[in-house]
Amino acid sequence: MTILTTYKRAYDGTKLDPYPVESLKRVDRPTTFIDEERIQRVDQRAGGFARARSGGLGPSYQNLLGLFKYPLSRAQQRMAATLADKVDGPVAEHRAPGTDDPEAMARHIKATAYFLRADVVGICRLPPYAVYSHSQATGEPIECAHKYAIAVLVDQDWKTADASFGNDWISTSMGFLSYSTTAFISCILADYIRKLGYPARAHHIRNYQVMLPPILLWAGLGEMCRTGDIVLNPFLGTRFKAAVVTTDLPLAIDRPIDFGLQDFCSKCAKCATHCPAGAIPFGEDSTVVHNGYVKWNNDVDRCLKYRIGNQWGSGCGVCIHVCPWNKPFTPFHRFVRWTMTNIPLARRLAIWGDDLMGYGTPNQKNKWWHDLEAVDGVLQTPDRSGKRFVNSPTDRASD
Amino acid sequence: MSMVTSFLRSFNTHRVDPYPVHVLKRVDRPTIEIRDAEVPRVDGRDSGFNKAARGEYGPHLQQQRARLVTKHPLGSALRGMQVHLRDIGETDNPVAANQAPLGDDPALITKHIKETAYFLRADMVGVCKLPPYAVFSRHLSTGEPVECDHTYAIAILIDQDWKTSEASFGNDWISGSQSHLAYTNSSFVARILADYIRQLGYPAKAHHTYSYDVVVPPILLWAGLGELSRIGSVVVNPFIGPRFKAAIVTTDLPLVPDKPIDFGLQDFCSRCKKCARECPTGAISDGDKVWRNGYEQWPLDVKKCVIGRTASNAGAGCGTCMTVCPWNKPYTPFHRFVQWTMRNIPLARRFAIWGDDLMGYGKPRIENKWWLDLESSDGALKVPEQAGNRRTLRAEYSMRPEMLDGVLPPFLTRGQRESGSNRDDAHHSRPDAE
Repeated sequence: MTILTTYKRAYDGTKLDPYPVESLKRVDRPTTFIDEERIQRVDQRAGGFARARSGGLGPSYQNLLGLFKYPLSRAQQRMAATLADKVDGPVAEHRAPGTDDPEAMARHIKATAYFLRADVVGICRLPPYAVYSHSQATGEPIECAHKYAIAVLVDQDWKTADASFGNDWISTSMGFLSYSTTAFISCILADYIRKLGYPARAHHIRNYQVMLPPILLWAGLGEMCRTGDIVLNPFLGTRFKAAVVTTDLPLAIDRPIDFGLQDFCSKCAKCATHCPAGAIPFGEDSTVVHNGYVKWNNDVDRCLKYRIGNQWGSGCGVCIHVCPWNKPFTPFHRFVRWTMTNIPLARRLAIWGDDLMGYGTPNQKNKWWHDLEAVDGVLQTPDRSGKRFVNSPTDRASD
Repeated sequence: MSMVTSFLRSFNTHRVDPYPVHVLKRVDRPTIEIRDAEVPRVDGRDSGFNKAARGEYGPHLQQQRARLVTKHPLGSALRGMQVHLRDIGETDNPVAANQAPLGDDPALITKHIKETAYFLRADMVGVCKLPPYAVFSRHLSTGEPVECDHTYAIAILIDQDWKTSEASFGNDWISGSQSHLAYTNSSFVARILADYIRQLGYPAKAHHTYSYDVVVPPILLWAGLGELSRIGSVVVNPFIGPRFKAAIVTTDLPLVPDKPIDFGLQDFCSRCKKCARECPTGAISDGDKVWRNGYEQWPLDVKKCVIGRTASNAGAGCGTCMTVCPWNKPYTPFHRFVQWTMRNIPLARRFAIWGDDLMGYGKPRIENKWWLDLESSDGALKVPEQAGNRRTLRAEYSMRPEMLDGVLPPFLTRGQRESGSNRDDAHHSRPDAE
């Protein structure tokens, strides 16, 4: 695998997906147990940021402006907010001819999403339990009976991830780069499908009716990881955000993937070591069953409080940055990724080598953003900018 | 960000620009003659599309212009987003009262702004002083007088997608979507960037499709993003050819302008003429440059171009010139090498022009076609009879002169154009009688 094939792939019109997803091992069910009988639909008002806003984390975390004290993320957030009511619209009266072959349409819809500059795309049946029970905004019950879900992933930018601590001033902007861009793509894609004569609704950061992790798992876009409620993609790590289009357009579905992550995460605890909030569990087997999902037992409230109240930057994504799967798509890393996927022993070597080679340490000479903080509406240069914490497995127990 | 820009950015994290713009030869002035004092400000309403929309090219083109983008469902969805991006412009937040502490080095601020645009997934970015003549005299839709006295212009380029370009004729049903893919994405980046600059305490305005207050080509020339080409008012970029669209942010944020570039395109276009040969309506000249509005440029017959793009029943829009241009290539190591020779060795240009046809570039790779041929007609989508073609539109129009509404000179056969025969004499000729 050389640099030539990497470039060639980006330009190879015979390949549907820019990343080599056809090389992934497909399985019948997600690699973490999902007890579909037991899962309760989730009330959106119980979501982390919704609880923070309504005072559930205490009054000092009620104001989410902590996430938007940096001007670039505010601009991105405002753009995403304008798309809040662009998620749905009238469906064309007549179905377009030639849109009834699910295989062909799945290929076509993926190609369209890639044309619209998505980085990775996957399709699954919409699990009924992925639909929220009640709306955060209105408290009204939510119904979304579409059959399929198309998930659209956008990279949060390797160059920025490489240069930053993960909890410095650019952090929220990285999240909102992907949130705003996937919102943009999903709204166009849903509109296109409605014009083909099928119901379709976009679900993005400013207007969700569905929760993403189960959709990403079933659509073969990743596995659950130690970070907790986050899905990890084999090519991007957790360095992405997603939006979803739900629709009744007949589509062939993708299958879940297994790239050895459950074994990998059980051995690696780099995210737990560096989490500034101490919100990620150590230990080989620190999983729990939460509402029917087996997942690592992260502390959501600690995570949220840190992201909202972080004084060293805007938001936090340290777990994204230090994760050994957060790598560029270079030939070297493609090779290492192949070994991590296929050779269990190589995982230990990769975990050891990741620290040895200094990955996760910010490459500050490539820092391109300005540290700025809005204080009472005036931008100032903050005196702090990002910090790497080191926890030991015993910290959290004694806390 | 196209996948290749994304890879380039990942592999070269120490560089500001994903594409190696530092290898380009910089010059003091654009490579075409511009008599700055003689360039008039343009009325935004005078574009070919706007004239067609007003009915100045007759009722048929007026009707066809109205459905140009919306007759294909993907183009229609992209247009919906474009209208949204225009409409939110009216609610732009004000400039912050205090200027952010950005330091006093305009070079560092420029680097930062370019990095920010690349972070927002732009494919290429350039900066120039805003030439006063690049500002429209009147607004493109309202006709109100336009004023924009910002000092600098930041140009944001978005690739129209090589894979699609490679698979298409250039005038089939995806053509309009390719344009609007790049229009909406560049608008999206420009809007966020302008909002960001205003929060930094400096005036900034995003100019994009449906909301341009400025003319794009002179800005691209001065910002070193390309040279003016045979296609007429189209700027060709040395890495992505004419396969892009641009949005502009004008601002008073202190910046350091880029310099114009010279990659030999004037010499190349004077020899190549592939766009003129393949243009379905013969709108592109295969002759010499002329002086027009203070620019010395190859003339484009705007009316014919508008016909090719609006009235085609073989597709939605037309970008055949873009598709066949030898500079429209993927950024692979092979093409990087060929482009290096084309930029640096005059003799290699002849060889490249010859090789381009020999290797079959410009011919659609239909097997990689991913889009649906669909045409909206009377409220329903149907499969159109034709999907793209090369050099048959002219035949069609010659045979159906009523479509021209009598406003146009006739289409010339290739033989007639080569022999320089008078256009009026060829009025009733049929290309198939060539």
